[in-house]
Amino acid sequence: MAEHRSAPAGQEQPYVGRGVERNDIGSLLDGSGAFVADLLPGAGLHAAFVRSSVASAWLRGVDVSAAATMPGVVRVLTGAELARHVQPMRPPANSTSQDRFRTFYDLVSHPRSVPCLAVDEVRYVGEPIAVVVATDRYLAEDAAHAVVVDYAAREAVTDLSRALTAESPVVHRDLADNTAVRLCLAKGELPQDGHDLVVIEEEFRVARQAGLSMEGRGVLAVPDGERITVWSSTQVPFIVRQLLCAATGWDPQTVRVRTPEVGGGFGPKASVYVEEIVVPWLARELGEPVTWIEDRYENLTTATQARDNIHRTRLVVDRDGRFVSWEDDYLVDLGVHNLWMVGVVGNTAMHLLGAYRIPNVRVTGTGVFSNKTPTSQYRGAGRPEASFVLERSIDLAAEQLGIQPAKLRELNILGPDDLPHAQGVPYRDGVDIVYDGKDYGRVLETALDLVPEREVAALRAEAAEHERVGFGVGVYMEATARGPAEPESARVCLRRDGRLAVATGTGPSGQAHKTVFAQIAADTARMAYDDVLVTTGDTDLVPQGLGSFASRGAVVAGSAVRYATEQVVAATLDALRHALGHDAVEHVAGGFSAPGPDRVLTWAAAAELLATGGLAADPVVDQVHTYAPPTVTWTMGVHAVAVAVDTETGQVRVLRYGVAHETGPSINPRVVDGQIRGGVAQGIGGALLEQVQHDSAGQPLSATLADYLVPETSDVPDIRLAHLDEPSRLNPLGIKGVGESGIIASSAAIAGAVDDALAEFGVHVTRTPMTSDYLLELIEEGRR
Amino acid sequence: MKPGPVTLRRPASVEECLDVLRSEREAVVKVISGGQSLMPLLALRMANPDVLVDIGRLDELIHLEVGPEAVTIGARVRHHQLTEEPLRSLLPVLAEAAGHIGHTAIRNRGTIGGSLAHADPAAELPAVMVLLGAEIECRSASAGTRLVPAAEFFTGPYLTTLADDELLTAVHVRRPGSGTGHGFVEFSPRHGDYARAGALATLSPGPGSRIAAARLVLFAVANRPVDVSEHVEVAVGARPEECDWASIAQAAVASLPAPIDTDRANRYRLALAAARRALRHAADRFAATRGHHGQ
Repeated sequence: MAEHRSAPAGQEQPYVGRGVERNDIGSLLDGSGAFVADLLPGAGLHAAFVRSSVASAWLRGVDVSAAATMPGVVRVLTGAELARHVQPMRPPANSTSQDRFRTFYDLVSHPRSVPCLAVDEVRYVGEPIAVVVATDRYLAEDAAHAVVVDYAAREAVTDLSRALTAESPVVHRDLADNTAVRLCLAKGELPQDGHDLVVIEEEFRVARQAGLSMEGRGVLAVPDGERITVWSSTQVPFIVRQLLCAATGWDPQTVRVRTPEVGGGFGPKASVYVEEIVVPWLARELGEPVTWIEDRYENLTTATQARDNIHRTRLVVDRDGRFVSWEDDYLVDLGVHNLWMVGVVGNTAMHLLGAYRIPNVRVTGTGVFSNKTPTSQYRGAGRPEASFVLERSIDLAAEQLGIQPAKLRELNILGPDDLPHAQGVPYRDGVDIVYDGKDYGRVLETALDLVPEREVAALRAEAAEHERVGFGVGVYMEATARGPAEPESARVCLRRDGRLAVATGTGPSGQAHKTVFAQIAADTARMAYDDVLVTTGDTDLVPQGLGSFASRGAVVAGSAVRYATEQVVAATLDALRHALGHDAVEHVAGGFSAPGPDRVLTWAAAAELLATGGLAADPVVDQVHTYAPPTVTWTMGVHAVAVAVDTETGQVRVLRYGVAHETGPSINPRVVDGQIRGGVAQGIGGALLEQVQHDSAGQPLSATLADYLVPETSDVPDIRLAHLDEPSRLNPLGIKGVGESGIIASSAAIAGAVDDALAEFGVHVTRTPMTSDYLLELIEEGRR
Repeated sequence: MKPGPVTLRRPASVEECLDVLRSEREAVVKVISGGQSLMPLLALRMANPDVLVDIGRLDELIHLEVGPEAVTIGARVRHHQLTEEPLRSLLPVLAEAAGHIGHTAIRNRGTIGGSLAHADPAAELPAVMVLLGAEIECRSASAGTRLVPAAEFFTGPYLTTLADDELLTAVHVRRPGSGTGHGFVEFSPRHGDYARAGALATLSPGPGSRIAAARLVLFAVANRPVDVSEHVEVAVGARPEECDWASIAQAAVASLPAPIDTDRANRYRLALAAARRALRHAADRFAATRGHHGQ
């Protein structure tokens, strides 16, 4: 059998650190795992939304009379009617930034509420205007098409470079302009220009992306007497409950939010959506289960999007190759709203500090409202953007200095003498940034070894006549698991059958929470991995939680599991000592020692003893621990990549890909590898293919998967990995997050490789994605 | 993304199907075969027919006849089958092109007749039919059977000469002469996507390892496949290794109407590379097949 079966007593081996088999993978692979759409009750009702077909307009009228009498239609609800019962959706409580952060960064933020259904105006294509409930989805869509909306179209804000000009229309009429967020980060003094300095000034663009999950969003609301259960494909069940109750005025005690299996999240599902309010409201109103399953068109037009930046940067380097100063003034198109406002804009600023000695830094970040789809974080959330512009600037500086890009990085990267490294700048959680790493130079060296020069030389020699091979590196920082205001709870119960039931507020959207939490609990309790049963995504089971985002699940909820399990051990010991009238009971491998020769009470025997002793029924012991780390812990890494570029078509093939990173010890190395490989695949997508586009009127041009292109297996090479462990002192497990490591430096590394490949054409990539059309233009310019 | 209301007809024979098409002449009718292009259009409600005629029961359209001169392929033969023997050996350019259609799951459903009747200008199979000078067999209850040369069948984007009551029932493809070399090159963002530009070429041998016939077709650069073979005629009578394929490709692409936008201009650049490579592949295979060129 698999190696994770109970170790015989005396040969106890920890589960943490081993690549044990995932305990939830069977149902995901054999199709028995249930997603929201698999839960539909036979007799339930289906909702279809009427969505805006224009990006900016006054609503002159919404005529539902024809739709209301169509076959199967149970209810048609307009924004005007809903607004009499339900408040607009407001940003969540934890989106507020800490005081120290606000002050230091001179933060300006204008969070907006969102009407659950549009009332008098629409502000992006896809905005929900009305909803039809019918006996099936086909009939609901037929009726939705029969709703007549009378628009008075207005000029839309769609060009980020012009959105802050005086001539631009304003998306939110109560604001003076389209500024959503502004923040500044200053460190050191900017030097006077001198002739002995190399100055690299550039403008970079990062395309808008969708955080495309295989399963779209979906909500199933089931009324049950006074209570209601809301199933949602979300990363943040607790925040869904919070915003649903805030909008409806419902008592949170009457609302249970649950997540079934979630088929990918990546950040967009860490937003809350008006559908998660409208559908439960309809279910209570109608007294019947109501379902809405997002289709792909809705997914690509209304699920939150991300990136979409313009950066103006200036990197100053002295003649010896030492970084002198680094400036970035950037704009982030936040679309019509963003529940987290500061999130991505702030992450970009903080990660622009980089993995290097840069004494002087000036950053201004501005989030801008537009008439595009709302935004949120998408895997990386500001970090890929920061890595792209800093690493690109370093490549350009290396070219000016006439040295290898990797060499210039070596000269400036933080080494053992620099680390831990205090930046003198607070993180978003209000605590001053200290990189808790060991030696980033070693990571760079390791990454270079993953795709060695001789191998790249061989690829160059083998290339076809029209192909050129290039090599690039990208360095990244990844702050993981924000502290102290963002806790997670874990509840650990000893069941009467001697098994541990673990529940957490954060759960998987494909990741292996249930496996790694079971590993942690099994080690802490010194019991078999198979005897730990983990449940996630149920607001009834734990008192407090936020969700899975920002590479926090393992660190924050994992630590809570550790502490809650320790409490279970302690409580069980206490109870056993009491029950047996003996203080000599000890916690040992597999259970507890008891007086008498060689007597070991297994967990099952202990549970049975306590249960029959009348101390408790089932569970026998029930403990909760709520944990928050003191602040972020930092993962750092380097991507090294070799590409081939077809000089006649501008098409890029990724030939070799390596990721070396310095992070905490792995709970489960196979899970960590999977996280990074998946991230790299998405990183390749962002670098080469993915691009959400709107025309100047705000019409989406990438609303199907024939237009929004994501990488396929044949576009992703084998990915070579190297893990360098440096335990964190900030949590009891010594771990660091890795959820975003794979995606952050992909665009930077691939751009470097493309520049290298096309050096003879003088190509300098300054934007993502590096499409065939874009590179063909650069090659043609180079030929002229 | 659910199709709107539609009347579904499922005839059991070609004859019944033709009757259905005749009787529904006043309605907006779409014939559905593998559904790989039509289903998304129905789901997006971009196509809203009154009547959908499902030919999934017409097994008589799943046939393959190999004659000494020509091959007849029934309309319901799946793309997957085009990539396999015996067609792989008989019509290698068809097999290679069909391998670029979508992915396995799509090729297992999509049919040759469906693809040709759909007439997407970026699709592979219409271009192959033009290249091979195929004849498209169309049948109707009113006019019987007619054969339309592929070059005349495709009239514009998603437009063909198929009449409202006609069913595309088969294609007749002349077998290429022994020793014919072919080239197929398409550029798309990912494997299986519709082409941004593509080219197909055949070079047929005559006496003395000289080119007796040369054909070149471009696709995804105009509203239908473009036969630019006249620009390859300069190669006829020459040995492949004597030909300046780059100049021939240049002349062929230069003959297209001036690009209307940057998208089209980029497609032309890709078409140039595709044409050059397709001709070179054809030349390489031509030589390889003869095995004694230069004698």
